[in-house]
Amino acid sequence: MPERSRSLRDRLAERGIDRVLWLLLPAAALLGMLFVYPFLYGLGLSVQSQEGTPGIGNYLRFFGDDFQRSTIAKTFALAIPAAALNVGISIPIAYKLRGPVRHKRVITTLLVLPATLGTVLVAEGLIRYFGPIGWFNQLLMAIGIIDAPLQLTHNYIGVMASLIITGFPLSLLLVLGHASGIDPDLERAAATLGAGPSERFRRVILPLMLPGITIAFVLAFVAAFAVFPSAVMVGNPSGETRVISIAAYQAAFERFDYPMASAIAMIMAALQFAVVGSVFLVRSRLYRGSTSGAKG
Amino acid sequence: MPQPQLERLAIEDVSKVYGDHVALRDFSLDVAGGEFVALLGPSGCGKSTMLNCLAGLVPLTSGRISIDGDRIDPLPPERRRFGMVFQNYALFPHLNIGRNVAFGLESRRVARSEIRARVARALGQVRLEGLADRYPSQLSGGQQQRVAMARAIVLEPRLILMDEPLSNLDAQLRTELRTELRRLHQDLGLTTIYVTHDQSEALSLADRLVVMRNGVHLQIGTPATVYTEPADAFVAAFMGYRNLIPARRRSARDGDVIVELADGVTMRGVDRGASTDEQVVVAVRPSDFTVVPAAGSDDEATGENAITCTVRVVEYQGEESAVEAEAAGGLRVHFRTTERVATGERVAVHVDPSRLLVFAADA
Repeated sequence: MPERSRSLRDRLAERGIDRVLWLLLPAAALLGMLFVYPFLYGLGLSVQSQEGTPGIGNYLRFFGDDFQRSTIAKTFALAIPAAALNVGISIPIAYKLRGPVRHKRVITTLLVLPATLGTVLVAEGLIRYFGPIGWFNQLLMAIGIIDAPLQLTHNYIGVMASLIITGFPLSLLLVLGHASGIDPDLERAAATLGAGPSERFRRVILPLMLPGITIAFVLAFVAAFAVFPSAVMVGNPSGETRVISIAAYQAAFERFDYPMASAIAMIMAALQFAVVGSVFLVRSRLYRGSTSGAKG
Repeated sequence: MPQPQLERLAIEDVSKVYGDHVALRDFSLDVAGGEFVALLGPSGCGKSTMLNCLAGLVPLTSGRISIDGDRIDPLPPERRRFGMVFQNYALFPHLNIGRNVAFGLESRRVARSEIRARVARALGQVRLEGLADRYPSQLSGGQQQRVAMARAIVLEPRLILMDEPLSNLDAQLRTELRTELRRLHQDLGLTTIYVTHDQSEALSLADRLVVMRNGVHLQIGTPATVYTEPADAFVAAFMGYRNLIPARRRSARDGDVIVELADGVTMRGVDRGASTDEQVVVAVRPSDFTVVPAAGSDDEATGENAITCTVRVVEYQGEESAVEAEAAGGLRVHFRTTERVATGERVAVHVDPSRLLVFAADA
């Protein structure tokens, strides 16, 4: 009956299901090819041996081997503090820069510039300037603070420094973008209500900045978790900075054990998902609405 | 009625300079406890700057502000014990209405049970009982502004500062809230400084009006004084003298002055500081013109203090019509009339000499 079929179409249209949805097809296909298929392919590869026998042997071998398993702790030991530091440094700077500040553009540009350098350039710079005969150690020795050069590269400190130099600009941009949207009258209102500077920050500004802070933390964490070039170049890739991506690289390109490499990649994905998921769980309990006091 | 918490607020020679822009120039004003004072002027006149200086949100360049003899201008805003209501309400979007109103009490470490009671009372005073659990985004603009009022009055501040609190609301709500503001001011014995660019708001709310322009006050007085005896042509324009016609002074007699309008028509009016300048400005309210029968075909013979003109635009406004007409020499005349006039019609309008104010031209 035509009457009936038309009403079905109307009912679907009310729920947003109509012919316009076909426009999603190209994007969905692209995502499928670039993301879903490789993921499923990797997942499939990870649950078989190199000879093709199905089983979870790769996972058992990874978790059974201390040397392999320890890469998880090493990666977290870098990624969590790096993300926390990047976001933590961004908060006061974004707070200061959120309003009209003189030379704001110049300051922001200078702060964000390191993001354009690339990990390799930063690593080279670190080795040169923070190495045993670099100017930093030379300076400290010249003014008598230290007697022997500090070991700042080819270890945990070097990788952390690289993660902060390259990761901080992104965190700052995200936190600043969110903080700039906070209506300045809110802080003024809090002041006239008797709240001093620290109370205003704690009770008004920080709660309104938190959604931006959590997003910045998640992205900083994901970027730091996948650390590879700096862990190799300014770290100690066979020791304290043998992160999980190095383990995956070695499995794939040194031992040509693709199923094992896939399994490690899957473990990385699961760990990142767990951290990102729990941060978003916390975030869902926060206020996430408008950051302006005006009628929305 | 409760007693006001201050006897005298004194603003003395306050200036505020931003770079090479002078926002306030040697501004002085005395406010008595319990007074409702409106700062009125166009945008950029310095009225909001003055309010922010009072609140402590903007530091003074020079001058002093004191309450009952104690200087307050060096104090940060959180130590002034004033309440402030913002144009965009500035409610904390992440806190519900109850927490918004409680914010200042929590800052002052007031006991929890007392906070509850005072928040409930303040919400009752602005007629928002039962909305304490809602969030600002769930309220209408008028309700949000009431919350902002409650948040300010719950602290029993010694001075309330309001920065165009009604200008984001629609016309009907504006009139309604205006009455409530005045009622709260009276019932709670508040001392209020109110900033607005709306003359009808200022006239209806305030005990005293301060008309400002370019960082200085042009006139301070009761609404009746400012309305009927504007100090200069600018204040007159703000008070509804829509006809501001450049003219030449001809002669003077007993406080009256004879002026010649640009088109050669002479009229008699009241000298309002036109002194002896030849160039003057004539100010007439549209409602002070009355339509008189045009005297035949002779344009200039319509009697004393009358202008013959051709109707150009008629705006129907219910009881009356607002009319724009053109007289000889391109002179534009605005008047209001209950009579029916048509576009293109020739009419003569008369104004009583006591209702025609003659000001110096340079204002």
